[in-house]
Amino acid sequence: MEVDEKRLMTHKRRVKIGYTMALFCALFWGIWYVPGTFIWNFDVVNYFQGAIDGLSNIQVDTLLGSGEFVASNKAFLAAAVLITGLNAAFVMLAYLVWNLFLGKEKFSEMKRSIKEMKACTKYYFLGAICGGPCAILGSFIAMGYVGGAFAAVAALAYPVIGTLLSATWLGQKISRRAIAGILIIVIGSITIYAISLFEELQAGGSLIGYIGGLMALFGWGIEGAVAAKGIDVSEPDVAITMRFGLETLIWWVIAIPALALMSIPVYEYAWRMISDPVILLSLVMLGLTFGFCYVTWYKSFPLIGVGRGQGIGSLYGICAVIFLILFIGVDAAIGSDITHQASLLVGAALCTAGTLIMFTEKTDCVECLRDTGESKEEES
Amino acid sequence: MMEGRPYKFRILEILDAGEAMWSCDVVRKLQEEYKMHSNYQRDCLNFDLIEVAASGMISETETKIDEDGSFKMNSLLVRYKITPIGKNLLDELKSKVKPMEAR
Repeated sequence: MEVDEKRLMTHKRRVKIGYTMALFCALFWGIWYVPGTFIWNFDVVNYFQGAIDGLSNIQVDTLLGSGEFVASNKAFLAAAVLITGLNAAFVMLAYLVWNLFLGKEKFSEMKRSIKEMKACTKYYFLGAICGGPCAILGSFIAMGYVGGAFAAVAALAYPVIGTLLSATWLGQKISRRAIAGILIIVIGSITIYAISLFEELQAGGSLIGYIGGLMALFGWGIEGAVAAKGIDVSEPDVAITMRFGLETLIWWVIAIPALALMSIPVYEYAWRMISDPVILLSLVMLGLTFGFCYVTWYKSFPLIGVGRGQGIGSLYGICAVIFLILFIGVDAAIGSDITHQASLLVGAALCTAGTLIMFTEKTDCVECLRDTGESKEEES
Repeated sequence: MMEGRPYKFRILEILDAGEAMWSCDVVRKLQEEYKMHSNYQRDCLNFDLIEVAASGMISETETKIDEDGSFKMNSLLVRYKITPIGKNLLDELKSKVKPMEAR
């Protein structure tokens, strides 16, 4: 084989690995919605409300049966914090196993990277804040105060923020073709939820819900760019483990103890959830799916850039609907209304078109993600 | 200065030290320094080089195929040099890292 041919093949392979990683991110993120929806069946919101009102669990059960019991925003937020904290802790457990599988050298590299706070770890700390307390909690707030479709749409537009930041702050090059592909995927993903979004907006929402949507949009968008800056100088597997380690600390050292100080029985319910075999299995599934969604998301950034990685990653919108249909049925996932099903089909077609536009882009556009400054040096 | 620090810090420093270097030589140097002698670890370090190159911090100047298998039979060997943005990043890192004995 000729050297040039081999070189071209190596570049193509790198770009292919990058896109495959981003596609796996979308698949894992989509599957995550199945245990992510199921976990709310453990009615922690109402029991927290009962604790806030000074009621026993038996009294809450009786009131729930009568249909007169309404949980407050405080109980909902406390439940969202506990579930997000458990999600982060189980992701960390998944990463410990993953890094053991990759080899003990990963732990040595992690130790070396942690010591470099100013040079690299600070980016993961920022990523943990943007992705955890900002994006994930914001998404839950948007879900609770406006609706699930609004939350999904707000988060699905995150590649727009990520692409803008990667181009302006990181100096990553992005072709017009890739921008077109990203925009078509975002529009397609939003189309899937368009009818439900319209219904939710007509029903009115609250300002806090819209703020939650913005938190998700900016949180995930900024996280991608910040993480890519850190991955410039460290390995993606190490980066993601540090990022989730820091997020786990934020929940379990700051947020959850703060709830406990407010007399909300967070530890008691965390233990109850872990003791229930079905909920424990859901938590393990949450950790595995969300963990590997993030691993593949971070691995795609140094290979194809933040914009492309996030664009393909936002296919999670369609993946989530497909997996929910497979696991809970069409009616429960999107409803029997023909307009909902039509918007799903149009959205899916747009997502496919956007993906194809990006996949068929010439690999020489992705050969180097930045302008290296060599041309300027030669001119001078 | 970057010895014993994360791999990508050291990759930039190695390539900043002199002329362009072949990927196999950079990887061998890293394998020695970090005591990573298996083929799997060699491939992991080679992939780190590919990531650094994709990010634009180092660039290719020459390529050849490893026909005698001294590194990895029939694999692509790339000669890399540090780019101006790679030099800027290395300078930024040098200003941020603490001396080894102070850590």
